[in-house]
Amino acid sequence: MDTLQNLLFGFQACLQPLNLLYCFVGVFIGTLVGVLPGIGSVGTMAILFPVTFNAPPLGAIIMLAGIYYGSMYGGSTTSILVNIPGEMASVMTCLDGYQMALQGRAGPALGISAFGSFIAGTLGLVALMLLAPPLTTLALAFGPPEFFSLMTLGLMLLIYIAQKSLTKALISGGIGLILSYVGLDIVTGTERFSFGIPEFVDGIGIAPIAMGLFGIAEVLQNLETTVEGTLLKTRIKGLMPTLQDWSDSIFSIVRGAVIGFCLGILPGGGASLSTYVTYAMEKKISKHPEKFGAGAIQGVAGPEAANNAASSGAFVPLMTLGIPSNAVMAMLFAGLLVHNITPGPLMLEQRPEIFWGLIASMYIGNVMLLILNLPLIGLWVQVTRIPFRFLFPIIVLLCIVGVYSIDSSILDLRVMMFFGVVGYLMRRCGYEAPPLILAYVLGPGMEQALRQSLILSHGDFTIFLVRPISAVCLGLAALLIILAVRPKKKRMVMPENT
Amino acid sequence: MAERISSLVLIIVSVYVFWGSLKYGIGTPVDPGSGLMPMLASLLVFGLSSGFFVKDIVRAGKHRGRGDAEGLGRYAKPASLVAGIVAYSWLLELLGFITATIPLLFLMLSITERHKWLRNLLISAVITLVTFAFFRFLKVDLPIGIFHIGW
Repeated sequence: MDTLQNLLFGFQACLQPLNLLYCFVGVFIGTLVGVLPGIGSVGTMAILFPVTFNAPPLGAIIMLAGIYYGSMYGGSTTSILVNIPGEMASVMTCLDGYQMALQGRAGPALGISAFGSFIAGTLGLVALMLLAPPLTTLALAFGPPEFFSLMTLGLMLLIYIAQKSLTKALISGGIGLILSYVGLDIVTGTERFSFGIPEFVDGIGIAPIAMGLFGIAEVLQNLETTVEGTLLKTRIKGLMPTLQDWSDSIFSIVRGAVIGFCLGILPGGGASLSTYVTYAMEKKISKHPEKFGAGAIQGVAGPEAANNAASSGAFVPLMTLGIPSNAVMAMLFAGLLVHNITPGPLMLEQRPEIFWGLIASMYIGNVMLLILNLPLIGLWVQVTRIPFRFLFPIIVLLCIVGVYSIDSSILDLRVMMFFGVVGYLMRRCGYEAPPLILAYVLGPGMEQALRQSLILSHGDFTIFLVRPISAVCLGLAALLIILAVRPKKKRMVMPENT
Repeated sequence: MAERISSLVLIIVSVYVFWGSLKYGIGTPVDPGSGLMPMLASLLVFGLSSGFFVKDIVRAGKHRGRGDAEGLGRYAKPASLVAGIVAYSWLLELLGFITATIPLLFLMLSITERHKWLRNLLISAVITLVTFAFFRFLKVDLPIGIFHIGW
């Protein structure tokens, strides 16, 4: 009953015209970003980050969140029609979605993808709504050792599922931590690694770093080797799946929703991992596994449901523990901090309108996305025809204006460019950016938690081991490191772009 | 070679951070100092990067004579873009947004289609003006430079 009342409270906050507009803008841009390979949701959120500074907190977070789950919807369009995933989370959809399109069933593929995403997204939201309040109550009992250990585990998980070299992902994480310590130490007042530059006293801003690493670096990489897809030249008809399609895929959608939500909760989990696991499971339990890869509708429905449910699940650690579980959540975390809102167990008590308003907006956003992705599919098809050579100047220009608009500082532009080059070189040398950005966001919190823990224990490091939750988290983190040194073929890795 | 250079750069950075951390003070277990976490992070990076560096030297020793066969031509477009934006960062506040951005966009469009210069110029001008107007509408301050072009 309390939950329903809180949800109504959230709808009351979210149904303000301005917040509805932010929701629409977020999901529209998210769909656009998902449709267009070349820039992901993190880069887009970084570009729009400065716009949120002047927006009200709830509107800002609604828009940023809309970009994230909107991109999950949009990514399937290019996967199905062009065989190029618009988002990493849509890679598995390419396998069967494009095959369905080749068989003249692009419409049902797009339709089941949209409906499956809607159903799973809604189920994920219900689970988020029911799970978050009791988890928050539990998290209030956490102390600094638990938070330090959880953050460490989250970082290790993200590193563990790194696509390429685990060691390089660990190095990226280390660099992210170092970058997070640039600026003033709030405890001692010491200026660290600021090189005498006044702008660095408050640290290096996350927006220039993220825009550089995800926006500019992506453009530089695509300039080097542009991937051209072949847009399927067929009229898309019959977006409504048939009864047979529903019969074949409804349980895949439900299973995908459950797997996606559970994996989305895990720090370091996320949408991409959930689609991989769901696809593998659907193929394993199917009576006709030979059809997977040849146009099995379950191969579209399951992963698409999983990635949308995962996007809801990912909010759980952020909202209840204040720990972002991936790079996207790290951007949302930063977006809330800008408005002096600290995500975590106290947010539900002190700023309930943010939490419940966000959940309500996600219900509304999912409805908007269903409308955007079905009747307006023709628009997105045209968007996929835009060549990269016209897109990248616009992306670069938006990055430049976005970063300059933060403080009207040329230094921010140069920092973005620096990290753009760094991000490009990182990709060339096999280093990944998500561990860096997550470590950057978690670094100050980890330092504070570590210091508080040592003060509590009078300098005794065993405090991390004698407290059960902390010990379990550190134990899992250590286990991941041990598993990581196993041969690569035995490790579950994220699928690479096909 | 790329592996070795990247490892070396990381080693240098981590050594610098390590010495800086000592300067800031790592404190004591009861009272951790400002340098503790940076030191731990730098040790992590140093240790892993050194491992890569040594591994690459050993591997290079075993496969002497086989170098990186990649041509440098593939870096021409990215390098052009980087150079363009670096120059842009020096000129933006001096010349103003409109005057500096049109050439930058022209450069970017020309990177992929050099021969269509008139079309590229027109598109650059239109996109620049539309972007300027849009962001001014959002009350974002953009420089107008010494020629005062814009509003």
